[in-house]
Amino acid sequence: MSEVSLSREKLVDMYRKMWLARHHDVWVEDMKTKGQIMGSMHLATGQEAVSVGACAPLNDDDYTMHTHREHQQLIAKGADIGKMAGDMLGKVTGCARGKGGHMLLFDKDVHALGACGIVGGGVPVAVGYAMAFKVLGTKQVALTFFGDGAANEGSVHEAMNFAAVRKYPIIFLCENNRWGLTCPQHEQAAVEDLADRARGYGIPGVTVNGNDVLAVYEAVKLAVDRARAGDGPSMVECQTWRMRGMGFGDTMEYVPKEYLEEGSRQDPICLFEKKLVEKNILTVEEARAIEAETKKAIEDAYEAAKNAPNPDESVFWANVYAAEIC
Amino acid sequence: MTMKKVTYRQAINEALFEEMERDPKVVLFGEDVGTYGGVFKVTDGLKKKFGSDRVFDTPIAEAALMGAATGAAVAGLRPIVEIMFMDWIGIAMDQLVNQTTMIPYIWEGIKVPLVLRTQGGSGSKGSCQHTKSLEAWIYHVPGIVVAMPSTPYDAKGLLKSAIRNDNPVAFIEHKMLYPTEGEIPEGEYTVPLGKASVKREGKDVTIVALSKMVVESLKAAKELEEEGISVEVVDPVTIKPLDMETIAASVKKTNRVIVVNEAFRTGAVASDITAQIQEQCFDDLDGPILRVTAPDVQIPYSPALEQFWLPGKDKIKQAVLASLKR
Ligand SMILES: Cc1ncc(C[n+]2csc(CCOP(=O)(O)OP(=O)(O)O)c2C)c(N)n1
Ligand SMILES: [Mg+2]
Repeated sequence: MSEVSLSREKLVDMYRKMWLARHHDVWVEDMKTKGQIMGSMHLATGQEAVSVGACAPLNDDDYTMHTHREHQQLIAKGADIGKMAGDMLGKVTGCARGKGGHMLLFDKDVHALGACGIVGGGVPVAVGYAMAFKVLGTKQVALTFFGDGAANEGSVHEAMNFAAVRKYPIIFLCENNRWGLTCPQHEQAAVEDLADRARGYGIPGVTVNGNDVLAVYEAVKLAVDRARAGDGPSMVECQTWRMRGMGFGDTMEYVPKEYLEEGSRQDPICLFEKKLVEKNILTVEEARAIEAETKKAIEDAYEAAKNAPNPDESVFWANVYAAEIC
Repeated sequence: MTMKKVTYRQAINEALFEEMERDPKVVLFGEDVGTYGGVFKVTDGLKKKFGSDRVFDTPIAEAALMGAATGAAVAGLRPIVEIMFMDWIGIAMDQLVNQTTMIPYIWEGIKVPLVLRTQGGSGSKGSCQHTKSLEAWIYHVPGIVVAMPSTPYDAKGLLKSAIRNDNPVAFIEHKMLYPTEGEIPEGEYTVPLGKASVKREGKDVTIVALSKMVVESLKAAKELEEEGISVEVVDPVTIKPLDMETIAASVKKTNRVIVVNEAFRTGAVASDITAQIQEQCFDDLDGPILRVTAPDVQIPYSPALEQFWLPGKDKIKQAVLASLKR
């Protein structure tokens, strides 16, 4: 595991966000099991280090683009959990007032804009964010998450080349859990490390252990500094383990047992906690208190969302056009 | 003829099995169609039976899927390519509009015998990137046959015809129809492309309905019968080319028409069918042709909002009653 060079406050915040993210996905999985959430459900349980490590070097006003497996990514960016719960349950208290559901979360207050159920669909949009930052000279950066499966979409290749040529301030963050739906990475790509492709676009690319939150942090921090300095995009590939099915109800017969065992051994929260305790940054008691406090925060958010009102018909008709036409 | 009961899903699966067995040039590929057997299990068992040269999973790359199917068809195969959800047909659309359908017209003497299988439709709480019905986009393109069966019987027989046909055929399924049951013959049969099917005879009003809206229209017709209204339900089955002969014969009898299509209203296939009836049956009409469609609104997630989007039995009944008052 990477060395610790951050302030105690930052490290504890990252640890706390990892627990929030974990509890979130465990909680909604349970609700889904009980039939309390309708529609599909993509969980990232066990992938917390990618989201948290990637968002930790960003400022609030940096924009992030997310995937279909995005709950934890939004939590890592600092999204409001109460509003998120509202959206997850289709309630009017959500940022989308219940219109989007689990696969289209966003939170404009923290510039998490936003999730996308079309694999690879968000990546070009993030290039546009970076274009705006460069043209407007704002020093903000964009970071776009995408999966190993998404890495093979034309939209992703086009976006990376475009951003590279224009030297836009963007980080291409590949969350490589080695599965695209039911299909293993080696059946979808002939390279082992997807970051090798960065060379072909003329940008830096690195592959890190995505379950080591500090390794992710360091790689993304370098990329963010580069982007802010005007040196253009980078690609960071985080190799991680998808510990749940593609979606809820996927029984995962096709996933080898060894893969899941390795993923369990590499539990990102355990690894990080061990490190923090070793370095005397956190005591075990403090760690347990954070674990409990974050669980309560998720429970409270979902309890409130359950009791929140549904959107009414006026919400349905609102914002088909968000501006006056004539 | 001995009949048996199967689901819409099984009917399609049987057609695929039988046609792949009959013709070694038939190949099937797409995302998750091989090992997993398709996210809706429609292609279950095919890879096992026919091997991974003829049935295989692909990278997530819809533009390349559509283009490769086109090239393979030109070079001697009879590909069946699956685009998992119609919502992302846009990624494949350039290939479809500028290659698949251009080639037979301009490259005289070259045929493109392929089947594009996809599915659309809402009702799954899938939010707006997994529920759209975009058949109008494909329908708009010259040189493609577009089929939208509503029953297991039509689905199996029509898919067999589609695979044997030397034109590109878009075969559009409805996700909510997969578990629905119906009778099909034990043995070999086909259903011709380009032939409508009268699903219920009646004399007061003709409903022309597409895909799952046939099921909804039949429910509406049954309830209206109790109110003394006799409704004829015509399923075009193939929407392009449209069997205007069958539709015109029905209009001649009832003099009133409703066109039902689960799709955004503006530019829907329903609009075009309405125009064709108006042009060809004007003298037989006793009132305006009414359309039952979804509104021009993205499809929201919240179960509380979806009802405002979905066309169905009740909206169809209202339209029939309105039509009789004109
Ligand atoms: C354009 C498009 N193609 C296919 C899909 C269906 N689909 C949803 S998730 C997924 C796998 C994505 O894999 P990856 O990018 O690795 O993300 P992960 O699920 O592993 O987080 C697929 C094929 C989709 N949603 N959008
Ligand atoms: Mg993946």
